[in-house]
Amino acid sequence: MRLLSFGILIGLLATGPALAQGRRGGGGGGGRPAVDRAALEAAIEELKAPDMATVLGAITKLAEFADPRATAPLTRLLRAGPPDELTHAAIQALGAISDPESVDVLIEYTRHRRPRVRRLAVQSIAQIRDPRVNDKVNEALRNALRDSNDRVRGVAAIAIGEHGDRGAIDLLFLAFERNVPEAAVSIGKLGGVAEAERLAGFLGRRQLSEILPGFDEFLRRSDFPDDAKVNIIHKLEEIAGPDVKRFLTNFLASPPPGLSQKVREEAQRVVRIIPDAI
Amino acid sequence: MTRPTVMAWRVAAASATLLAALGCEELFGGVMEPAAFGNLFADNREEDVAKVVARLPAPAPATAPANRLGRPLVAGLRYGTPGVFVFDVSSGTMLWSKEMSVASRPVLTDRAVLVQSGTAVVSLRLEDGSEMWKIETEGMSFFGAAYDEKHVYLTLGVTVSHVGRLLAVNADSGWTSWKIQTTKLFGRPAAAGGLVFVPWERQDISVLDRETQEEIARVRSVDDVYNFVFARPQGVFYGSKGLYRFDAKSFHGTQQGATYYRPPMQGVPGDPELWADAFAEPTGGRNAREKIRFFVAPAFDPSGQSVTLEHDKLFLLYFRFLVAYDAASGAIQWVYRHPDDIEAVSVQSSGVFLVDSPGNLVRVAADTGLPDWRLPIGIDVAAATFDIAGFSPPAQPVGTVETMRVQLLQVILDQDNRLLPFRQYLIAKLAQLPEAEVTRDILDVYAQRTSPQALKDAARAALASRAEGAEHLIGALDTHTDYLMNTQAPPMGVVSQSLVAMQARAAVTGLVAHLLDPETPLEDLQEVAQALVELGDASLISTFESYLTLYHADSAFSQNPNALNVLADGLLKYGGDEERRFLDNLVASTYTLPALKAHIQKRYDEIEQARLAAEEAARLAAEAAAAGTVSAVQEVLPQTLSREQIGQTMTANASLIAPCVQAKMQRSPTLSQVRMVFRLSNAGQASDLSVLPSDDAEFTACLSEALSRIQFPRFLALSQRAQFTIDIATPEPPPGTAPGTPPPGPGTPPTPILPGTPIVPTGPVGPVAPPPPPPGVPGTGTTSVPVAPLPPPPPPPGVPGAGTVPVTPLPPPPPPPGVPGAGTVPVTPVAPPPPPPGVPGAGTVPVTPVAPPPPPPGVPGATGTGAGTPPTPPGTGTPPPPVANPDEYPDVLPPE
Repeated sequence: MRLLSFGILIGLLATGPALAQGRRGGGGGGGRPAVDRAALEAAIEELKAPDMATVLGAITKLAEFADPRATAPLTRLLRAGPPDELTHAAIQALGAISDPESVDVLIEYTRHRRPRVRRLAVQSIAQIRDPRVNDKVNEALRNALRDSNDRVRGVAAIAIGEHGDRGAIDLLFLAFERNVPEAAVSIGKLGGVAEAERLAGFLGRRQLSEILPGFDEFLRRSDFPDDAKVNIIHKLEEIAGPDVKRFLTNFLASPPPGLSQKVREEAQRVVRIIPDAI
Repeated sequence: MTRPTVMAWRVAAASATLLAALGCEELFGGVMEPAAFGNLFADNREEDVAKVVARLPAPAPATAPANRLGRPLVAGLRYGTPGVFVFDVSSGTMLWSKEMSVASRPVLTDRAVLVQSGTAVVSLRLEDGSEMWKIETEGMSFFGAAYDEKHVYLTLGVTVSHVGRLLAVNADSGWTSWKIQTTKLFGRPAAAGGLVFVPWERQDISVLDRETQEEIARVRSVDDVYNFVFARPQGVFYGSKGLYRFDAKSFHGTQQGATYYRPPMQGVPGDPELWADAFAEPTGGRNAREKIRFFVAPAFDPSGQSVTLEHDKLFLLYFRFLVAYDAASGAIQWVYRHPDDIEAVSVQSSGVFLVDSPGNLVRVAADTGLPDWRLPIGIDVAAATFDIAGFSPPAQPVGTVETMRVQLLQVILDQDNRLLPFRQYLIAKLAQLPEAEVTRDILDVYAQRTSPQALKDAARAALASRAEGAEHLIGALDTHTDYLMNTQAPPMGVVSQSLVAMQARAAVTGLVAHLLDPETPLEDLQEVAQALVELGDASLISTFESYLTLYHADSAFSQNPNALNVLADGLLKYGGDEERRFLDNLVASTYTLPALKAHIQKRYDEIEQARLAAEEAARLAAEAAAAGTVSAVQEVLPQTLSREQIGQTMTANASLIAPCVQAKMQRSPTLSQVRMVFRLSNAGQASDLSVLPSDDAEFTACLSEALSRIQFPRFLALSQRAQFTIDIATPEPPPGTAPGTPPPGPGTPPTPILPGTPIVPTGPVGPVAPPPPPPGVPGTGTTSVPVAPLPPPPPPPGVPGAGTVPVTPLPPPPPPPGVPGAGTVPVTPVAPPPPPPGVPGAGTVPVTPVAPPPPPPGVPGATGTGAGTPPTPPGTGTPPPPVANPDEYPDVLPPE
């Protein structure tokens, strides 16, 4: 799974939920082929090269290897204050490695002056799943939610949900009110029945397209009560409209495993009664 | 036909021709050939003016209304349904109110009210409003009128085509006794002593004999404009931004030569006139022009040789606010805030009377600014004029006298958008108050979400001039920009500079947090870094190194590396060999930003020059000692320049600096102080100038250029930081000079003061405990507690039973990110103070007149800062020893 090209890895980092699903179950997934030690050491040595192209190539290789033995040299590289391209690449490589030892340096970079760096650092931190550093990671992600840059806030909002930081629910609602639509996704991932009601309170006050991703998360969760799911569907029925019909249709087209008959039938009923768009 | 008959016909024909030439409108008057106002009349002739003065009545106090009813009256225009009214103030009853169209403000004479209605000027009988007469305006505008016991003198005109008409109309019958029409634009006239004073073209005042219509004197301004003339029992006065008395000196036509008073205030928003503009096109309704102007009343001077003002004050009306200024110093005495727009004001000996839009007549005590009498007129008012001399109802003051700080804040925090220029003006005045809390107030104004950007900019500039309140600036450092909490960090550029000026070393920890905060704007970051270098010590070396390491190759600073340059200077200042090697590595690295490299290399060159200069000086000294003779080069260079030396050099070169400051003052009339911080090389050249206020690139460039031309004395150290402050004060009148005597010169802006008196540094002197070690770089959060709003200030002493009118407290800033569990203290907004209530029955409360605010500290005075510390012992890498004077910081590297 880790043998992905660097470019595809970047794309997956940008799409939080899909990436999270792939990563659920912790870092360093099983089945990863062993890294050739000589190649690893050669790449680490190339980090000291005088020309940027060689260093960049070395970072790319280390990201592909995703071996925790590269954490320390990449951290040293970042702490030396490299130029922009190397900074970006090194941060992303640390994310691919997902070694909890890199949390401290990545947290520092979540406070970098350039928003792009902060965003990459948040995305990389989000990939680190280790209970030893969860508190640090959660705090860094919450701080990133307050960032002045909307893209940083967006990735932080998604990452909070990925990390299961339920303590950040109120902060997520505040973020949603302050026009961070990604917060709805994490609310859906983390919230309970009360939070679903609270999110439904935004119907009519916020764009439906911002709220539906949150409802999608609630509906797909196996730990979320069926009655509450039905309640969400009823609230959508009150709104009706082509967007709701399309949302429920797509939901039924790819339902979560174990979706109850009750919820399914209710969704189907609402789809039937909502007229097609003219 | 016989010869006599022919003659008779010829005479008759000639008479008819003559009559036709004169016009047939009036049998006993007619349009005069304009001998008056002619171009050939000699102006500014002493003997002519003397004749006029001889005919004027002796000055007298105004003790009674001028109208024939002998009652204090207010005449006005109704708002809503157009019309005119006359209100008897003493009885509190409406004499009459009449519906009619109106196109001008009312003029009260001794027997009538004059208004332009439709195409005529109408005279309405004072007793009952019945029409006495009307004069057709023939398409002209009615600019105003004056009167004496016989006539009413009207001026009409067409502004665009410069046509002016003066009519002398019988006050009772309306017959035109005479009229003059010219191609000059006339303003509202005045009448006294059988003379008619007519301003024209804003340049001249012609004095006509009311019987002969001859022009007997003309005063022409040489260095000013004449926008009004008026006559009172106290005398005849004229002027524009200042006030002249018409007396024997008027022939000079200059401010210097005439009996003249000029208000000392500058930068008053709207640049209002001292009296109503006599040339203003009339309007028949509410007019913003009438809501931004001064109101004064000449005081009675038996000698008739000066211009003094009633209560020794001028009163500025700005929509809903009245501001009292001391006539001599220009200091604000009080600010009165009215709940509604004020439509008219009259200054009387018993106080300041106003009429507001809903039609309330209110008197404000001239010494305290408290309302102490009120009477409803009963109708909405569009405009009004007073004839209430001598009226003095019993006083029943309402409210308590607030401190000047509170009075100013109440206006600054008022959210009426029309008041923005006024609020900006007052925030500069607030900044001049010495109380430390003012610094917090200004920060609160900046932080308030509803503050318009222009007000925030004014707050920034005001903060730059503060010398007190370091503790509030330090407290403000706890606030960081937080998107979710919608908080904004204080203006760090200005705050940093102010902290340096205040030598607030306790601010270092907070400053480090803002250095590390990615939200700190790049343009402010340099000042933050500079403040850390100035206020910090060697314990900040690791912070500087970490920051330079992180960003030395990063594009975040490619456009503006100044902050990095400053930190590099900090390493040179506080560091030793190890830091020198660190900088060597930065220079050697191919990735380091070129501008940073160049800066470090430049510093190295300066070090080398200093070393060579020191060697040369030592060699010369040794030669002189060996020869046992006095060396020709007796001069032993000092280690660094003292603040006195810097001040003396700057003062000696004031002529280079002054034009820049004067140009700045033209753009920013409220400028009160300029702070310059720059680097001096040991060759005596200045560079790297920072200026407060920092928002004017043109000003900074001008000062930089001037500074580059100044040669300072040489010294031994590598370089040093220097600071110089220019205090700009309004010129004090010479001792013993009463207001009204001619000022030293025409109204030129005051010359900036560049004295050499140093300011005694505030803050601790002597060993200072270093701040705690800074956190790592970047992204370290700070722990802090929310700053609760300070309680409203207590009432001033001597005011019994006084409660304060609450100033709306601002919500406390939320904790910066990274502080878990910190909540915000909910703040219930306090409603703005209610409008003044109706006339209370509480009786008077003795009030202590509010003393004018003392001048801000450090005025006049300037700081030239010379800095020097003993160099770090070589090789030890230890921090420099504690310094006796924290200002004495040189930039000296330890010897190799």
